[in-house]
Amino acid sequence: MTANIKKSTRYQLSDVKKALIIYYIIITAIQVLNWVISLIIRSSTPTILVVGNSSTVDMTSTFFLFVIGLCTFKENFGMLLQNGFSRRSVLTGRLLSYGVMALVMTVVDRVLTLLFNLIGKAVGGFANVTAFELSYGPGGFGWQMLGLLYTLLLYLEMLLMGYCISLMFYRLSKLGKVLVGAGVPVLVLIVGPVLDLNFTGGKVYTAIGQFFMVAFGYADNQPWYAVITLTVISLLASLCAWLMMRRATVRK
Amino acid sequence: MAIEIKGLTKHYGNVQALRGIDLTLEPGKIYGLLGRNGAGKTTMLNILTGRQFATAGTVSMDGAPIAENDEALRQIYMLSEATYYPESMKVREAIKWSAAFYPDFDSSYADELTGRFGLNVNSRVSALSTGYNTIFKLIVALACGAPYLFLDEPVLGLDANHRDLFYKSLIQRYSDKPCCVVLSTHLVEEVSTLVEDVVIIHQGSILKHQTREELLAQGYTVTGSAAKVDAYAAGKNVIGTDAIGGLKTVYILGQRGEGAEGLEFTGLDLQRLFVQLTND
Amino acid sequence: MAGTEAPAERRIMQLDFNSEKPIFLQIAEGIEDAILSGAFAEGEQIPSITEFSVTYTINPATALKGINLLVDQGILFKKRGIGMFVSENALDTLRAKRRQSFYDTYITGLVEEARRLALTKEDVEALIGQGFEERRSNHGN
Repeated sequence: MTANIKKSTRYQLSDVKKALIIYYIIITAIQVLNWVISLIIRSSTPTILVVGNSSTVDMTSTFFLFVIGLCTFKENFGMLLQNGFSRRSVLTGRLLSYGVMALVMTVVDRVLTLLFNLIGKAVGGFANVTAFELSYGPGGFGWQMLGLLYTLLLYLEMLLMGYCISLMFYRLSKLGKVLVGAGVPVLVLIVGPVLDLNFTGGKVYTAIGQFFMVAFGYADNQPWYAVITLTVISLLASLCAWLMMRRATVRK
Repeated sequence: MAIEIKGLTKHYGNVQALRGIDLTLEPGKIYGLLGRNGAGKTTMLNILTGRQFATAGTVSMDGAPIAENDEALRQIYMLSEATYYPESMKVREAIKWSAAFYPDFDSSYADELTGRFGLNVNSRVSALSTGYNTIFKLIVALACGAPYLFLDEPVLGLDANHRDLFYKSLIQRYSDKPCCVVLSTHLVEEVSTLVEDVVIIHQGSILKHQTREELLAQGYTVTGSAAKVDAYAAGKNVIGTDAIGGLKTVYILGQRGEGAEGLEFTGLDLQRLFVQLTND
Repeated sequence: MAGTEAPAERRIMQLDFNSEKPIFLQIAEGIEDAILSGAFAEGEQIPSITEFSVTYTINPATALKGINLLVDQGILFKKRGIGMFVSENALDTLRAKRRQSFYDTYITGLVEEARRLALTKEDVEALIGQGFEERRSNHGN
């Protein structure tokens, strides 16, 4: 690894450190607040049994990382090019920093889930489940390890999707931004379904839905399918990011 | 050891920003890159540092292409009018990161300069005034230790005292650690004593590239009554004229011949030569 | 990096960047003037190239060129690793040189201007006498 890639990675990691810390403080605070409120309600109306199934930490992290992906292109790109980095070093450092982030957060989220679960049980009636278990069900040690791999890849993929979208909007002209920003949702959510319903009897969208069910292993309860799909998406997103960054110019 | 630019061309749609620039930037020399607004100075420097892409032509450092070349890019620090430091970053952090990026960064010298310029290192970079924003970038440029410094409009927003302090600091830095400095500006007079080579860029082409003294020795001015001046100037390479009432001054390129009765001869200064050469 | 600025009192000579005379010549002449006036004594060290260039914000190559001119004429000499010094016989050398150029530098122009102003030779001589008188009374010598 060249010195520049190391520096680029370090810089791009430090850039999200603060956001990560704040994120986990908020997550923990909400969890604690949840327990406190539930305890108060229960103590005042002891007959009602509150089963507080607080949403899973990793589900929240998935959205958080998508937003992080959206926010981490422009300023880093300008800063690093100002300081003598090639585009290749910027992207390689970005990918490595995403890898580190996804790994750290996978572990932290798993620990938090276990911790919250333990305390939740002590407080009474709370269960924290991982998104993986929600989708594919509980299992033993090997299954849990597979769950960690799944989470890691899911996080990575969300980061990369966010990154690619922000890169795409950076590269697009003003008109392109409007066309893609408004056109894609309209096409996918309104025009597509209407056409599909009227001309093919909704077969296309059903097929797409079925494809995703299979690709993410929901159909056969096969997490390995999801692992493969997420890997492919991450690789494709990395490739797209490179293609878009290769000719990106520095702009204010 | 040098940066070599060959046939550099840049089009923006139908606009030709650069039309085949050939230029060699040697280490250890101070260049004045002079041109009017929109002449192509910034575009050229942006391409040299890989921020923009050329339509045609090559840019290399010591024989290797600069584009996507970390090692070469690290040899250059470019100060531009636009600021590419993150909105929320404080001056102190920005300097700390520059020190992490540039292996020869001199942190104590940077501290000394922030003190001398009175730059508040606890301010956010984005909250600095125009002048202090330039000063912040100048300090990074002077302290970073890079062998090539491209300074695009380096005194933007600086008051007279800070300008003087900057020019003096630049010479000090240059004397302590010789480097290639490109001062890109339209404020010709201010840099005229600093530069060794003058590169005049006009409408995307290089009009002149010579040492300052060679360039100035190329021409002279003749002043006197309009009739006499016109008679003298006939057949000579006149690059410009000024007239007040019956008094006329012509700017002539070429060797100064014998004096003539009733005519005043003087040398050219850079500012005047620049204005005459780049008048459309 | 030693960022010490040349102190203001070192600015012992005036350069005129608007003059058509090349700056390196102005540097050389400025140093000559300083030696003639005694500001730089024979055998004494003069400011470094960096000090000159920082003080006058000029390119160090220009300052070097001016100083080398005086080194070539034996007015200054270089002590390796220490700096520039005024030669022991610099004053004599300079006076001899300046006397030679006195006619070209001052007399030619003086006569030309006198003619433009319709001053006679006698007028000019009288003025020169007056000049010497005034200086004597001003400086007591």
